[in-house]
Amino acid sequence: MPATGKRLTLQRRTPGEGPDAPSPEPAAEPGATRREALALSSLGAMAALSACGDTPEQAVPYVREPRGVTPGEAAYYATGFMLSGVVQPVLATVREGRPVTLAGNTDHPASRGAADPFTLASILGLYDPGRETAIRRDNRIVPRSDFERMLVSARARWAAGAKLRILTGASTSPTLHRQIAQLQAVYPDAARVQHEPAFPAGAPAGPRLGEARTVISFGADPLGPGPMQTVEAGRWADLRRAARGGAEVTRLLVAEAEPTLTGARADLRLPAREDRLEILANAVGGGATGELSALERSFVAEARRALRRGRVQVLAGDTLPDRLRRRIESMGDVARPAPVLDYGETLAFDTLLSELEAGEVDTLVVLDCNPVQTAPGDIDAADLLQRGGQVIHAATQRNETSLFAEWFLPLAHPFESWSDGQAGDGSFVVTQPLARPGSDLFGPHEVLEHLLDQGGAGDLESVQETWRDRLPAPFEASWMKAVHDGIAPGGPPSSLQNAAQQNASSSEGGEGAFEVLIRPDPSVWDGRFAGNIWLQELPRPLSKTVWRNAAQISPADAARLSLEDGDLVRVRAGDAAVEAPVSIQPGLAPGAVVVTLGYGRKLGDGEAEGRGYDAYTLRTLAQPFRRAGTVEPTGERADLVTTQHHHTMNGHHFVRTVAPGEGVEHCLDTGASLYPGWESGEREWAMAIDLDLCIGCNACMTACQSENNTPVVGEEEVDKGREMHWIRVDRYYSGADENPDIVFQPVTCMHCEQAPCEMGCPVNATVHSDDGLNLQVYNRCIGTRTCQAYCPYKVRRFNFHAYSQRDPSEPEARRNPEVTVRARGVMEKCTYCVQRIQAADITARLEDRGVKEGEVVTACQAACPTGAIIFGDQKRPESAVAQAKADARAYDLLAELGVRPRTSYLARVSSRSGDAEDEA
Amino acid sequence: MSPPPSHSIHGPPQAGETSGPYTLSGVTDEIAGITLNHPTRLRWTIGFGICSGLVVLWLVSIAVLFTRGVGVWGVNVPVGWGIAISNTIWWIGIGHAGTMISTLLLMTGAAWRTSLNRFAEAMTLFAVICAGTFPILHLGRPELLFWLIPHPDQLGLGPNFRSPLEWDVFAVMVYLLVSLLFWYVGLIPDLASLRDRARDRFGQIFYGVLAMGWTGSGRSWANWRRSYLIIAALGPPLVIGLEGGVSMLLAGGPIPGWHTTIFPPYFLLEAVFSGFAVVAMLAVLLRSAFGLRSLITRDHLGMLGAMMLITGLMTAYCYAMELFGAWYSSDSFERQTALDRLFGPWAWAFWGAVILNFATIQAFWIKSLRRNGLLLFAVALLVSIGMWLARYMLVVSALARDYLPSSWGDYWPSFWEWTLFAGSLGLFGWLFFLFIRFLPLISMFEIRELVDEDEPGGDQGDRS
Repeated sequence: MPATGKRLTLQRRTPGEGPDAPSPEPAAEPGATRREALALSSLGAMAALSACGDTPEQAVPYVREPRGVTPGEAAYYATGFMLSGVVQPVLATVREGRPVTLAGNTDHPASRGAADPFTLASILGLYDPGRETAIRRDNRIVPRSDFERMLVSARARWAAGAKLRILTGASTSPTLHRQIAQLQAVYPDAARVQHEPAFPAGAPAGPRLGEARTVISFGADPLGPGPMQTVEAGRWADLRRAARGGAEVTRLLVAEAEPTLTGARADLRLPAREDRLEILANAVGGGATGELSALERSFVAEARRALRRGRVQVLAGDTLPDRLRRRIESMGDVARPAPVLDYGETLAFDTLLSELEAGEVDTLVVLDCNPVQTAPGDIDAADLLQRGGQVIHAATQRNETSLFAEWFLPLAHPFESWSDGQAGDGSFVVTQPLARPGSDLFGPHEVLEHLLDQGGAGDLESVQETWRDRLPAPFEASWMKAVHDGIAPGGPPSSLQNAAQQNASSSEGGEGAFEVLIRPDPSVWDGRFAGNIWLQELPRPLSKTVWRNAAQISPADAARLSLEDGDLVRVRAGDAAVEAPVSIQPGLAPGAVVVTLGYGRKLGDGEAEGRGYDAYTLRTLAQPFRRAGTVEPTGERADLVTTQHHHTMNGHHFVRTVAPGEGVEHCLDTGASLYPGWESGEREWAMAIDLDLCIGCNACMTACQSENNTPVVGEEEVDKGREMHWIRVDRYYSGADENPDIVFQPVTCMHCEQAPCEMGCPVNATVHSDDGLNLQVYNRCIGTRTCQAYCPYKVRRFNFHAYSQRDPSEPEARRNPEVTVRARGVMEKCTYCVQRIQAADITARLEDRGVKEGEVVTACQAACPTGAIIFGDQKRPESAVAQAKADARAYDLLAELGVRPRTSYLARVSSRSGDAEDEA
Repeated sequence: MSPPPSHSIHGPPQAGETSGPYTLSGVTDEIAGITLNHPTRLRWTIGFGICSGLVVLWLVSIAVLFTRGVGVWGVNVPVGWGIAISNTIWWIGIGHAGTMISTLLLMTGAAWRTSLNRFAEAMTLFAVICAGTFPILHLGRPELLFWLIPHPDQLGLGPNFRSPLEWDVFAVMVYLLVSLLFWYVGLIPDLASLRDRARDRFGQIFYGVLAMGWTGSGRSWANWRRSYLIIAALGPPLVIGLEGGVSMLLAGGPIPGWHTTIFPPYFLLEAVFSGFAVVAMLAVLLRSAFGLRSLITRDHLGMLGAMMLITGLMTAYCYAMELFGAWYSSDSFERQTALDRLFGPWAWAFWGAVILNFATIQAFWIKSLRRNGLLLFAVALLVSIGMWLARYMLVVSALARDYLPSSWGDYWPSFWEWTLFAGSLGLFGWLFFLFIRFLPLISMFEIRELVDEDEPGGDQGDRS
């Protein structure tokens, strides 16, 4: 965003003057329409954005370059993004003061360069035009001094023993814990309350997967979306690789209700309603198997065999009752790893609710949390908030809770403030800002400092205060190192126990034939990403639906109720009911219906407002994750958009599966061709995708989208089949619908050596480079779409409209300046991240050397938590990609066509039955 | 105005050739009268008005398309080519019958063509114009159309000569040029007749300019005849080349349902078949509208019916062989596409095409039926619709379901695609109405040749 004088005048606002300051005619009356408020706040957000980085104060070009900023060169900062309490270590690319893309922090063991889609997409939140920048009291913009004046009297009350409650999400931040302890030292009745709607047991205690090569899971989903995905998937991949080295294979037995990413990777999967898991666990533990079905009996037999052999870890789902969970997890001989994540001392959410109900709370500070939306349906959070004394809501944008809070504080985005926390493996990360916040934005720690004393130290001071004792002396040097590396010394406290998690969910059923499973959404999580257009358009890993949530039911129930995909049903649990479009999910246990959280927003998050249904209303405080209920067809149809309409491989073997130790034969495309081969240059870029490691998590898709400025097209356009993702993850079911095998296959441009698209294009807009890339020359393309018609993999994407300019569209300031933004009427596709190849090539030439192995890492490759994507120069025999292609499992997709794809796949390894190898 | 030379290029007249109770000047009176006296003013005005409305719709559709982008159509990934491309193939096919009737029959000396060739050539020209608009409109960036044409470029960029689409551009352009030239050269002697007969100043100048100073001297006729034959000789190879090129646009890609060697002859036969159908429709219409029953006789209708039967049966053979090829290839993707067409989502289009194209023409085994104008018109109309369905099915079914089921999609033309198609029909009609209003719709001098050789007032004519 260019620094223009106009915008800067907005930014340089001081309290009491400037356009947003209170005046006889306030800018936004309490009765102002949402549109007006939005317009105003987006104006403010622009002001905040223009303050990013080292923007000069006047709109005058550099005379002397500021230190550390070279126009055109990226700077990289290690930081982190806290997702449900767990910090995801990231490395941010910042260009000319603008944070542009995120990737995992390669130096951090919890990431190793990988990241999950939530983390990668979180950068969009920084540029959200809906962000609030003004302090408000009763919806009216007030100067900061008003807020500070209010605190003076409040502090006196708290010191006198009035109840101060601070409601936050889960947090592993030592600074937050320290500040709470400080508050408690000063004020006799201060406490923090943790409200994390996505997790039954507060939050994850640490990685669940241990060192066992065989894992039996009862409803646990370690590989599924969430804050632990990157760590767990990395561990799982390491184990699988290590096992393969010894010609073995890891084994995974999963009994679960709804198919999860863990279940998709299971060697044996049993669909079972969650209320059957106890019976199954008992049977596996030696109980009677009499009343079990044949399918269940074979699962139990297999699990018993595995337990007898030993080296087994047994996992239980978080939503199971504590007693059952402990019993299940004690069955294996490999224990769950010790907990490593410290969430601090907190008060239970229901304690807060009863305090609020009794009107005992003097001040409630809601810190980056939205209880009015995310409280269970049987709690009238709005009403409770009004019963308390004073409610202060601090958030990055106004949402449902802001409507019922007297005070609203605009919170800086995590990438605009200092903080700290624990990564999934328990190690500490100090997270630094990537951009300077607007003047009126509060950092989360700054809010707490304000509660403590008059001065109100900034975030940086608060975080440094925490680390002054923890870092080795001299402080300055070790602080710089910790911030620079994105990893701080110190391990988890040893006092943590698994038992610290209290699972509130009870297993008592209500009335109704269906088991209603309430889960966080793979796209918007608990609703915090509802305004994130990348995540909204990211197809859910299994259902491939986008832009709204659905109710998933099993094929058997769908047939019984004569429902089809997109039919509107009423899901009822107790007194609450939602109307949701049905998505038929093969492999879902009959009798279960899965609803997901985070949609049906009433206020806030632009794109999300009014979209989908609100599953929080189905929750109760006692039963937040599983309720008994009913599903009734309404006879109506609803919008439900998906990116994949056909779900089987039609008898083909696009995804090949081999037994452990076996390979595939004659599956690389090396046949004769009528066309002469290309004269290859110094290098031959190539890719291999190991389907045995792919868990279908979609991290590659989000990484690609942010790296390559791939446009978001919106729900209607996706419905027309015009989504623009350059890499897609195909998901196929094979076998019976009741319990199919689920396989994933990331598909991107194959960079064919005999590419049909290159032959088809009449204007030479798609051509071959001497290092083996199939190039798309945007400014030569006239849009005949011949290349797309000829592409056997259908990976080419066309700009039917000016997607980069129309809504929904990412902010221009976020875009990666290394990649051209495509115009209307132009074809685009995966480039193997040609901009990264070129950058590496230029660096190498400047240093008078060749490009080294591993020097070019594509965005998808970097993001992959399991390292399934391998890229490099196949001309070099020792390169990882050349070796992958020489693997016995290597095959080309549609090898029979003779197009010589440069991207090869490695077959998935599956030991459907472990008997053969084990009896031996 | 000199009489035409006494010798004929056609050789002796055959049964069924045009003749009537005409004298030399009678022929000219009859045909030139349509142009100069405009006998069906009201009907012409109504028809022209309707077509003008459709042309306006066509222009609106184009305006919407250019302002909002090709996204206003229903095309997507995987079906990036929709009815714009199937319309192109359909229109080009229609054009081919005109060329075949005019050139092939001219060179083989089939004199029955004489009553049909003029308006058939006009039909060719207008159909190719309609066909040519679609690929341009379907471009993502139509303003860069000229990149398809080799031209000096400072970056040394040029078109890709490996691309079938590039050759289609050349073929369509050459075909359009040759069709225009052939039609115009054939018109010159008649334009001179009109010039000589025009009574108003406008007509004299208009036809005078177009006649390019034709004097009718023996030398003129000799030169004319030579050039006419030479241009005619270009026609059939161009038709074959163009249809081959169009078919290669599909067959060139590795897509099941397209990638087969039968496509060039298959497309050619389909094209000529559909072209004869449209010629037949126009012949019946003109015959009844202008009372040309003695110029376009039942024999002519019968001949058109017979040609439709012959080319239709050949096309049916191609259909059968295409399916056989899919089965015999043992390629599961080819088989799957064939099954999709036979019994899958495109069964309605496939069987619609089979019934409309092949079941209908079986009536023409009976001579009296194919000489029946009303029946001929009905069958020809159904064949035209059937051919459209066949092209739609061919383009869409292959794209919508190719190799990876994960990327299979669906396609339905949007409102603006239908309006554009309707608009192109209007454009065709609009041009044709202008043609019959201002130019002689039957070749006067060639009919005169026949009259000249027959006994004037011969009695083989149609008396109905």
